[in-house]
Amino acid sequence: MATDMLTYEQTLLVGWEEVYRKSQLSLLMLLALKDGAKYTAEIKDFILATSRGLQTTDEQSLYRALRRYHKAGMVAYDEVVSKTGPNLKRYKLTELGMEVLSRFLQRNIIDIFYNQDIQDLIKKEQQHG
Amino acid sequence: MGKNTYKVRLKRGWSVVKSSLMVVRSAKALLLVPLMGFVITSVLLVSLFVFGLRIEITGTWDSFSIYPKYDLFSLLACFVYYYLAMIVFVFTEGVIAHNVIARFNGTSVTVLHSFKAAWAKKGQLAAFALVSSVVVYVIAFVFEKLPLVNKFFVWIAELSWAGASLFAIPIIMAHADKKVTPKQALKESSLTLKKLWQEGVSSQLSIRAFLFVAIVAIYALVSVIMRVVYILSGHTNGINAAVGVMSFVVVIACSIAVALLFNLLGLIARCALLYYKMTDKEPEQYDLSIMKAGMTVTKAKKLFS
Repeated sequence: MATDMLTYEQTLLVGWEEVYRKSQLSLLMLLALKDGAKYTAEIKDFILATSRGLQTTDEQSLYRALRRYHKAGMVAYDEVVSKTGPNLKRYKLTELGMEVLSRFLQRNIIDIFYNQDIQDLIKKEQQHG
Repeated sequence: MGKNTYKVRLKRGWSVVKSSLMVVRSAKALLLVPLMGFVITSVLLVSLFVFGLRIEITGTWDSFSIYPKYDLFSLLACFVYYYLAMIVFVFTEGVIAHNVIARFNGTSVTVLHSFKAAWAKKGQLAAFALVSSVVVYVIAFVFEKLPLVNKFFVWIAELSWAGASLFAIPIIMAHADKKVTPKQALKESSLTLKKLWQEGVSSQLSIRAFLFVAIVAIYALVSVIMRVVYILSGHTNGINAAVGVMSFVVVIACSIAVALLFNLLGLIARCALLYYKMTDKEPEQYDLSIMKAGMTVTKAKKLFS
């Protein structure tokens, strides 16, 4: 029975984490660009490092997302001439992208997770864990 | 490479086409405007038959001409039809032009708002429609029927008029607070065509090619379906006749839809070229303005999903 409960908890956790991580990808991508202009491979490495290996993504998905953000005016790129293959694109946040990201972080991360009550709750969890 | 080399101008023409497609994708309600115009002009045409006018109709799938038999009543009635149809055509183009130019400016404007803007300019649009009707009528009827005038000159006259008036309606709508007479609209339209004819040709050819492919695909699909039904029905004539009639209706409906879409895209492309002339803003930069004008929360969700 105890083993069954563990499996059930694990299943719930994995399901929740999958949904949560999918929604986190946009944030991590834009944070990677806030950190500085990057190539797609560098964005992928940043996401992997920040999520401690838990958030993986393929370069095609990154390209598609970056194309959407570029069309929306949030991201721009500089083309770097490559001698060995096609030109590489170095992506960066535009002013619009920076503004949208800053306001997102304020409303959804800082205002919630930096709130003292929420911090106390999380700390309690850390002690319990 | 200079700003206006041949290659740059062709590329600009293609950017105009892409922006036109983006406008249609972001403002699907605009598709209803030419459809509404088509329905009204069709009703007007039917009314000509109702009055028992002796007329003949010739033309192709995307345009047709009406020629009256030569009696005074038929001539006058046909002119009235032309003028009323031209008013409808010019008004609907005015609505679309207003909406499209606002989107290039990054402003979200409803089709209803554009109707009001075109209504506010009804005098100028009606005046232009009158000039256009008279010119088209004279070219179509008088020149066509004069035995001494070679058809080649009729064609040249038609082409010249089409060229001179290409940007006239977008110009009338672009000058929101200024009254634009037909003469001023035609003069500015001719100057715009002179400056941007290469971009105009490349964009119009691209749109025609795109829609030609669509028409061929529709005809091919309908032919295949008819063939399959013919085989499956065991060569039964009754079923074939029914399917044949249905296919004919489908092909006609699709052809009309494609013709209306072609006209809409063509007009949007002309508005884009006029906007480029007025603002010097390259068409590649329109996409963000169009996106801003058409952005909704639902579309923003898709951006981040």
